[in-house]
Amino acid sequence: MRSVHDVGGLDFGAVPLDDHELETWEKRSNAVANALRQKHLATLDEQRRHVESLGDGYHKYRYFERHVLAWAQIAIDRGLLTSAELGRMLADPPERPLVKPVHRADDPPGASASAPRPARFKPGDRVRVLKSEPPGHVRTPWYCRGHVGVIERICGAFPNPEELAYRRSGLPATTLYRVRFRSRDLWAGYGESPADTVDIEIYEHWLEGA
Amino acid sequence: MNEPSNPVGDYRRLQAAIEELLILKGVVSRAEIDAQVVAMDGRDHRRGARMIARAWVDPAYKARMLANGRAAAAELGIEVGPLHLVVVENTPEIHNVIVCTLCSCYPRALLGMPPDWYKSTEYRARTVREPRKVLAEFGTPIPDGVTIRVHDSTADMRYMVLPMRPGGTETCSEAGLAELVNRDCLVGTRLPDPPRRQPKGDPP
Repeated sequence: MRSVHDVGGLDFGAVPLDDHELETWEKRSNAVANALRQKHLATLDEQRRHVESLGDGYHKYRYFERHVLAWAQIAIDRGLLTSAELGRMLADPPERPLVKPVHRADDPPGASASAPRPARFKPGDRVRVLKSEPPGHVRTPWYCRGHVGVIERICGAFPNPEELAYRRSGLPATTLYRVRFRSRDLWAGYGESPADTVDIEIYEHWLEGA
Repeated sequence: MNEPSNPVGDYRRLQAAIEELLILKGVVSRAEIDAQVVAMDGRDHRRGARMIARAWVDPAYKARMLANGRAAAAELGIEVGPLHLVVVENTPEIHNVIVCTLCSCYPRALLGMPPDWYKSTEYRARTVREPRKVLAEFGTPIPDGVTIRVHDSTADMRYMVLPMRPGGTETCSEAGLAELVNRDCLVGTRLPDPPRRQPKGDPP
């Protein structure tokens, strides 16, 4: 099924053009996340997976509310802290909460990397995006599935985010492409210029020759 | 003050609790978190603007930037970490605009933290389907004769738009040009600022 975060092409109203200065807690939430990622204690795809699993809360909560909820889940999932410790800290912030020994960092990316597979497609090739609905954390937007486009460039080989989101290595690295679609092919009754395009980054396992 | 119905609903407290526990358990230090905040505050669109201004005055640099954005940032001494940067060029025939329909992918190393509108569901949902209508809401009308290229930033690349150099800037210095490069023109939702009038210009 279409996940709650995958909103490309849905009907929404005017873009709210306002912005706000980030509050301290928002900055610190982001800073903690950056620090954990740099220590290889978590991945961006885990953050995304937990944000995507908020269900109705996804549209109810604001951006950094989703962010902090996701990182609470990651910290528990990774064994960096326990739900009980968090509950105790929230209920009554103690001077010295119960401290237990903790965690082991994942191997840094690349440390045990097997060689990436060679690229199947080259720039100019026509490809079709699989029309598929796997559960889990997926980076292929709903609106392009089943559509035909042309390889614009090969971006390189990257660990598979569908695996990274579940704390696996994502290796061997998979080829990532930029695929160019005509907007009028993606959207029935596209009302703007027929020459308009949308470029989307898509991993090779989502593509077949067309 | 109303008590939150659910303690987890108080996000400031939740954030503080997570941070406090991770520090007490030795997972991260307060200094490491502070350093991340300082680094974050030190990054804004002026980094990207320096690259754009250089590209406007140096065609060879522009060619290198379009071929390898990351190396072009390094050339100016701009540290971008693991960023994989794709720079897309506006021309009289093509206007580029960046969006992430799945979350909020944004070249933070070059532009700083994304603004709220970039993260809004409205921008993310509509830009791929009706880009001219969205850009008109930003006060940026794009003629029908111009092709719009939308870039959906869904994976490991990050994007920056190279806008067209504004007219009337022939005598501007590189630093003066960089000041015309606002944040939003690097995403494609606005155009660069027009040059300020020359202080020694002809009387009106």
